[in-house]
Amino acid sequence: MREKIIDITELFSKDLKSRSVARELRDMIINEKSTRVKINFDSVNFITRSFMDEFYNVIVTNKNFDIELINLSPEMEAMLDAVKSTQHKSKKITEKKISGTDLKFSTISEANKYLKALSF
Amino acid sequence: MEINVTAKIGDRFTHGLQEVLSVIDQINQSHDDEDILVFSENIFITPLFILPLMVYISGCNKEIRYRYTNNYLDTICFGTGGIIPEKIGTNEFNQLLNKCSSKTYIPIISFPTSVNYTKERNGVISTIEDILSNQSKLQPNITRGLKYLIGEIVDNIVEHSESERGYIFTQYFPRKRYLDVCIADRGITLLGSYRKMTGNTIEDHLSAMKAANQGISTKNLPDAENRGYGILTSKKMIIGGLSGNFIMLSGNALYLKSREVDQSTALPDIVNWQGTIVAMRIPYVNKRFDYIDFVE
Repeated sequence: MREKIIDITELFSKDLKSRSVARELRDMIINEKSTRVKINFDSVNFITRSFMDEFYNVIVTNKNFDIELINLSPEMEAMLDAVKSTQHKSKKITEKKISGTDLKFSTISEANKYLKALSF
Repeated sequence: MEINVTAKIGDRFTHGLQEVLSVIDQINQSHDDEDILVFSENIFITPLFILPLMVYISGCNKEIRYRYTNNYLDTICFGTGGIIPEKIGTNEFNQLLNKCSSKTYIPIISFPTSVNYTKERNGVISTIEDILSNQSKLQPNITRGLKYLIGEIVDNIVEHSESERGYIFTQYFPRKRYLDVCIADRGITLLGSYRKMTGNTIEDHLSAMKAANQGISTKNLPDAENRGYGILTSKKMIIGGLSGNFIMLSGNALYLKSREVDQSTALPDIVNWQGTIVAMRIPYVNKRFDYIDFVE
């Protein structure tokens, strides 16, 4: 069995902030042709939710890959859990929010009068 | 027509927006093919004034020129449309930004949005975050929140805007202990992005603004709602975690969010930003803030 360990920070950065990084990593794994891939998060400093969502969808759940994630910090585990739990969760958008109380201004002085009355 | 810009923007976050709206109003009152914005020497401007003005002017159907003697506008590279990191090279860019470590601003940076420049863009954004963190001596918990906020907004530009460049401009206010960060693109607007979605029913900027701020993504996977959390989470972090403010502009739509206000509005049709702009006021005083608490 061909096994490959990928240190994600060596390939990219200690901060993982882009969906495109996850897609690039997927393409690399495809080219590796290894049967099993371990992705090492040991030196990762920071990840965004967008990166983790893309990573989960194009790599972790990819049926063509046999993937193991190693050295995820508790923060990264929490991000991964958040992503997993919202994959098929319908966002609760209330009728009140959809209809809202829209404000429409016909002049800039009206808009500025409204902004001036705000507390921030 | 010469339009005098005398903005002296005060402490209130929305003041910068009011000033830029006033300038837009004057541009629209002029019947000339070309207007000149004449900036007074003693103006005081913020990111929420400068980037919306830049985006508006770039999409304006008449020629707008600038005249100013104010050094600050040169310092922030306003007249040139911002620093282009790829043009000057990584070393020079880093040196240039390092010089800002003792300043209260980072000049306007124009970053590439193509996926072919992912590594370069992430390098540029990381450098900006490091300088911001050094300037205002941010605690690590705030720096991580800031990285999250900037990272999500920049990635939205990359994924949705179809803009060739993104822009970031920041200022920090040491006595007030907050940062103003504004990030913009000159792309297809939120509405343009929704219009590309299969089965789209959103047909105006205000509806697009409301949809984006409710987390309705244009790129969900089939039968899933996995996307659209970036903006929702970012707002929760800024408002609930840091007691800050969040403003978004796109087309003629404006969205305002604070502890008291959660409002989408349609501005007059003469206001049309051909792109999307996000501005955040980020107080950096909450020692207990942890960005991961706000990720859902």
